[in-house]
Amino acid sequence: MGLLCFYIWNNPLSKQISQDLIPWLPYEGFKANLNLSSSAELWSLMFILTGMATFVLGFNFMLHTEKRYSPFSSIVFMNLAFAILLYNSQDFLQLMAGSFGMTLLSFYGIENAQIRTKSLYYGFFTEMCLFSALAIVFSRLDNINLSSLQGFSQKGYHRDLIAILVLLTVFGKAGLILFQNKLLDMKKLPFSRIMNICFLGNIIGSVILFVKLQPLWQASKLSEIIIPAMLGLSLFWGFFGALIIDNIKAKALYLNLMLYSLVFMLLYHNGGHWDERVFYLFPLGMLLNFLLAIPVIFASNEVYVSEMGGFAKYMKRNYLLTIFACLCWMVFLNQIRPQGEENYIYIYEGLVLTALAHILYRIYWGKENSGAYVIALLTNMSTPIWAILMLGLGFGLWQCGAETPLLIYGLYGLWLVLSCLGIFRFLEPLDEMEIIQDTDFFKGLYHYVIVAPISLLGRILWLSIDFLIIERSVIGGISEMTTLAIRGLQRIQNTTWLNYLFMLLVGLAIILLGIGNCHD
Amino acid sequence: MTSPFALLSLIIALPFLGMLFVLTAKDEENTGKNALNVCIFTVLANITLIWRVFMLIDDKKTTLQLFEYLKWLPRPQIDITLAVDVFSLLLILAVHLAILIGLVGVKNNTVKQKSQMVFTLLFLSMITGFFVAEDIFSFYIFFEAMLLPLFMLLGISGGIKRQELIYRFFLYNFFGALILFAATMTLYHYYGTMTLQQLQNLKIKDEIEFYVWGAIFISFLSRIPIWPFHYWISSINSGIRNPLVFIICSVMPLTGIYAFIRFLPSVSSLPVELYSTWVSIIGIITMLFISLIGFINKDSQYKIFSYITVCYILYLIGVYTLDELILLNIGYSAFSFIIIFAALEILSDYIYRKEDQYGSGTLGALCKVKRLSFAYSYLTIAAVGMPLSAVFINNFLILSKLLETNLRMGMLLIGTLFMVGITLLQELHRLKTENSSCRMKKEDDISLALFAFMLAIMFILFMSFIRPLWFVLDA
Repeated sequence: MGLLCFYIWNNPLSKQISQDLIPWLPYEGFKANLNLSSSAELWSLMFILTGMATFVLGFNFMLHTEKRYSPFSSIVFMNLAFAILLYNSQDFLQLMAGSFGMTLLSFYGIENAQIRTKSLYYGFFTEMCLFSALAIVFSRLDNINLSSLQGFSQKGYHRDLIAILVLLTVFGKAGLILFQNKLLDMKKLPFSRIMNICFLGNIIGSVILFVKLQPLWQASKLSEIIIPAMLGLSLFWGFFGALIIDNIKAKALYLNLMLYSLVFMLLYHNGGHWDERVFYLFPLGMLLNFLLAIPVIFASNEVYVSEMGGFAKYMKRNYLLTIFACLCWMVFLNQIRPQGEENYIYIYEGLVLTALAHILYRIYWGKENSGAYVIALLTNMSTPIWAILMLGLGFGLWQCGAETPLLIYGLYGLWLVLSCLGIFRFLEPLDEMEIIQDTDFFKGLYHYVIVAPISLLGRILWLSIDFLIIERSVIGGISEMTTLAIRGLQRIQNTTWLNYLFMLLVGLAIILLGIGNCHD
Repeated sequence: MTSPFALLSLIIALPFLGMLFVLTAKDEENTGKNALNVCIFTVLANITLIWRVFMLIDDKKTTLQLFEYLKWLPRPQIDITLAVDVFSLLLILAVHLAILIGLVGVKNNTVKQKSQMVFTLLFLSMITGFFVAEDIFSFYIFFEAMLLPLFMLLGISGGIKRQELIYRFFLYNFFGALILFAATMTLYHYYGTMTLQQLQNLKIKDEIEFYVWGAIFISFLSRIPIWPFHYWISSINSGIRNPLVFIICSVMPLTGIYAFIRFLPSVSSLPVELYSTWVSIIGIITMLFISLIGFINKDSQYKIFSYITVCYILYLIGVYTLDELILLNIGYSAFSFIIIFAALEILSDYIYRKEDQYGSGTLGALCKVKRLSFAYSYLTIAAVGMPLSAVFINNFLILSKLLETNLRMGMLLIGTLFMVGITLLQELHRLKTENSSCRMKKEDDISLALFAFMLAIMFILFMSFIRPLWFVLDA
């Protein structure tokens, strides 16, 4: 908060560019400064982030999803401070401190202790990858300035290794495929926390890292294979998850996974440079999360879609807002115009709309599955809040509407019809299949591929080397030898004068031989 | 620059005087409160003195400063020299803080408290002497002398069930000290009395160099839990049931590492290179070995031990680079590391005492105790290298230099650090996993006073991240 206040105080709302360097480490050959400068680009990012933070806090305040306002609010603001720290980093130390700080914030931002520590595993893994990559780079370049990375592709030390480490950091931090468990675990949290972590936390950190460390991943040819493969897989994994998983919070998280995929794809196609369009994608993702939060909040915290259905009858106002927001989403997304061959934006849009159509059908139109108790408690959001939201969305639509081709409205109409028909109804029996709904394939994969072999190796080393060889053989042997030596000495000391005489003679002989050798 | 008011002698003497004072302290039967208070006061007073010494030295210089000379024996001529640099002072301060933390951890201990305090202060005096010793004789004396209080502490208050382990441990360390004695005598025989600085610049005769360095390496390694002898030390450390004794025992490897720093020649020679290469290889094997065993071992004490061992060996391998920047960073990193493991140990001990009290497992022990949970989480996160202490930046520098020398070795080191970090996180995860059978309640949380103390420790750690020597005020 202090950092944020300093920043805002020091850089008035004039988008002025300033240079604020605070000396940090004074070592010779390892000087580091804390950079808190500002730039127009940072202001754009901060504008979006502050807007989203305000929305999360407002959501929390108006819908009472969080019991402890103050700690949560401070975490939301701290995210902004760390985003500034990370964005402004000009050296490895500030970059790592910012990135590690965001991991810590996500740790403290999760109230469920179990998920919190589990997320720390992932966070620690990704930070160790970043740490290793930068340590290798520093060991070769002998420079901690990020500007020195520009020449890295020419010098090219251990390019593939460093690129893999950087990509593991970025994608692991974001929670893309292979690391999606980190993201999906959040389904046990309230929506306000989900939105905070998914749009203000680590994802922002990973995007900044992706851009800042672009010379490192771009230096390797491997990244040309890894990046599209991981992003493509994430997009489709997210789509199928959003379509078939029963838990509505999980659905929201799968939609976020799809969004992340798009964000990185845009950045990748832009050569790893900043793309302002990316900033505007995050609020769109947050809007989708909000739409899925509505039925949960106004249906007594019911999170299973299979327990909903036919809500449109009871929550007309909510439904109206939802479908209107979907129109706005389409119009806003249209503003992020594809440049060149960026057809994946259309793929993303198509997949999201398909998943949304199915989700909304099941919530608002499908067969009524909820009990009488839940139905009795279904409510609409209060008129003032509803009106504010409709006006806000309407204003946005009005701003962008003029530039929107009619085709979008046509597509929207088609989508609306589809969302009422429920063409994916045949997927409903999947709700009952435990293997799809609850089985964590990646957890099993990690367990059998990484954890189990390591544990086995550790156990073998412990039992065979530590216990059998060292304890039993080496230490046991030394112990036996000591016992034998002591017994031997005890026998000599058995008070018979012949033994003492013998020992005296041996001692004398040693001394005489020693003196003889000295004279030689 | 010479030391005013014989400050270095004073920081050795003060714990010793405190020990004498504890001996005379009146105590009601078996409570030991007076002894504990005297001990805490002595440690605090010495910390103030150490801080004063910090203010007197030039913290930008890495060379030894504040020399004190004492003519001891005319024939054989033995002179005592004491001196400090930033590195040794940091270690002295860290050991004092660690022992202070340990004292807080045993404040409710009522069994043989007085003798425990006596030997703790004696140990503190000896180890401080070891860190300020600048000639080979005083160095050897302190190197050996700290074993006695350690042995007594292990025997009296360690809580180790298998007594033969203590004898083994003592014999092992004593054997190492005897070998150092042989090396010291050989050096004296050939070159007479000398300071450690002179020794570092000395070209030892070819015919004895190999043996002298061999003896020095063996004796110093006897303090470090390096393969295959880690088993001796690990069996002791995991058996200790007293946080103060555990902390003191875990400080011992530091003496081996520091000894290498003081003895290794400024210009490397063939035997030194040969030995250090082999020790580095064995060290990496040990790190892998210990980190793997720590990962599968269910005993939290062993997990902390594996963390401590891996870090010490990392420092040891760093020491062999003979790079001044690395040495300084080892000092900065070790400062935080020692405080972290000491604080972690007392919290861990607190949890296990509660477990004993209720007879339930520790699974989910941190779920309902917020203060304890916060402090434990902070320390674990700082231990694994997150930016909450000096360990973060300084380990980065140390590992970068090692990666520069050998990429594969560096990556293995990072791998072991990762493993040992996961081991600590695994323990944190276990303690935070909701479990209905856990009987720890809100009332079982640490007291407000202990929490305030922990916050002070966390503050020190965090400040060390921002600036390692933050407590040294600029003139």
